Amino acid sequence: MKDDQSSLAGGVNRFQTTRWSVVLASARSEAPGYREALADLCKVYWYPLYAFIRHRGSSPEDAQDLVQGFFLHLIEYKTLSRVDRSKGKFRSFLLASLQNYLSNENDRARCLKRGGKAEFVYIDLEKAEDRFELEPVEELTPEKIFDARWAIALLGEAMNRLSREYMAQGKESTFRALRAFLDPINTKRLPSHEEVAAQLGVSVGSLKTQIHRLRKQYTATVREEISRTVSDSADVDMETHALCQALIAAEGWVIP
Amino acid sequence: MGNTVNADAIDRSEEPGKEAGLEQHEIRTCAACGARFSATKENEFCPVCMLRNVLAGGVESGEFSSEDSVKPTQEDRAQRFEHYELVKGEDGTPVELGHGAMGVTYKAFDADLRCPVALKVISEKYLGDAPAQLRFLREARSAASVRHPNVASVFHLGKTGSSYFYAMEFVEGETLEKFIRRSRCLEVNIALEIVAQVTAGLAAVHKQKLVHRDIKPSNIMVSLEDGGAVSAKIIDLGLAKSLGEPGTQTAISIPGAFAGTPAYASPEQFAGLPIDIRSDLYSLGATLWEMLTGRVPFRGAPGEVMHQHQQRRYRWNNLRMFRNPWSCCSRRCCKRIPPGARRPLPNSNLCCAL
Repeated sequence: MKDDQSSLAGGVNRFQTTRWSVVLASARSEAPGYREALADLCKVYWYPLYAFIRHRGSSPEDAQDLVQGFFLHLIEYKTLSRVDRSKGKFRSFLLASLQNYLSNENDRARCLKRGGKAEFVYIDLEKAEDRFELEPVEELTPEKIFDARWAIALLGEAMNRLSREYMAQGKESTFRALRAFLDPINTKRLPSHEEVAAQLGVSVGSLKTQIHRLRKQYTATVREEISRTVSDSADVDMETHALCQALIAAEGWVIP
Repeated sequence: MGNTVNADAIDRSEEPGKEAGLEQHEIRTCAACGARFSATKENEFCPVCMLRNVLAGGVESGEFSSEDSVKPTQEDRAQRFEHYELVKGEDGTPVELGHGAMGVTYKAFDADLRCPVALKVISEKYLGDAPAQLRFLREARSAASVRHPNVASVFHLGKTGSSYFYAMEFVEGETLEKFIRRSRCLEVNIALEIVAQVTAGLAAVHKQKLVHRDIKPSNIMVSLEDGGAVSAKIIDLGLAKSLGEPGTQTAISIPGAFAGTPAYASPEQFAGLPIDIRSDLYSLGATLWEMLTGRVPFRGAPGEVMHQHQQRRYRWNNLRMFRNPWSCCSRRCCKRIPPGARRPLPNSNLCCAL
């Protein structure tokens, strides 16, 4: 247990400096290192941004360029230092900023074309309706999908972190053997405790303790990941609820 | 660029939507919360439950405990049950057809008659539990009392050592749940044919004065025959109750007393009111809805789903692409009773309508 605690504690510094609230404060004071801290946060959540842009119809290459451009824009234009409120979620901020950025990029691209913002589109209503009837009833907005992707990215990062921590302690095989026990609802038949204990060369009692510990660590890691993205730790539960709702609304369309 | 986010900062090997992952993903419905989620080989846990578990505080949450789940033991897997031999898969483990609250159903081989059967074995955790054993016996007897082409027949109840089991007809095909997942939405004609056959099966269940209480896609086996004909059979009468039996009035206010599956259960089932076969018809309506749209009518946590079934209006607009009589069929099944009391009985109005 001591090892695990020290391992978790070892990551504390990183999580202190890469919390959304700390990044925001550092950006305002232009403290050194805030760019790296922001990069660390963005690295986890770039995919929801990329997918959001793809969902709007951009090609993979354009989406990639736009994500990179957006991150550079965040830093070069010191967007963070102009954020007024100290409260708020990193998720909401990033999505709103991205939407602004994309809007500006679109305007710029359209102005390059003759006619600027003029739009002359013939709408064949009958055809459009025929097509609409064939489409599945879809209530998902790109924003909802973005939130669900965010949740998936967050859970994935928590799992990766835990895996890395076990690996750092030379317990990779333990993690691989115990990972199935993290399933909250036992979607598939789990191996028996006896089997796994024999595989790891420990007693059943010791195995149960290890499973218990892993579950606690995973829960703590997810909470920690969520707390990085909100400005107040009191908002963690609210954010968790919001992410649950996003996942339910997404109905499995977001692939982990 | 050293301090900025450059291309190297993005590790594309972890891209969630990478093509390899997309090919292998499968949309599942979580048995605990009803949420639909994409599962891959690497990520097969329900993300909603994972997050809710964080809210609940992790290991202290009951739903996170694996110790209480029904898990067959090595002993279960190795056993031969009288003249029934468990069929082994390629990996040497018994082929499991399904598992429920009371036990596990395996594919087995009747060594005397030389034909495949489905064998339901009571979970080991209930072996010393007299009330649970009684429930298991009652389940077998209820199922055996129904004889109909659209209900899987139970024909043998036995005991090996301290383990009870019963043998039933082995139904070729797949569960309707898998069929829907595979097809996303079923063709209307196929969906209605399945409903018609299940309705006929329910009429037979009703004739024995039983209520199934758990009609849902995973309890309906379907097989497509050459020429496109489909056949459907009701399986698992594990929650079946006799009409008028005290247990048919299970109030959700009693913790753990609710029996059924929230995504398909009727409002009267949730409310703890006396139920009859019309409750099963409601569940069949919800099943038809899922066949037509690819989704259950209401989604969310069990509590939210219960509330929606009782209070929220169905989004009939979702069936707008179907011709009126077909959506009417689902409407009639899903009508809330009481006070409407117009949901049809299976052996009369609905069969005629179909």
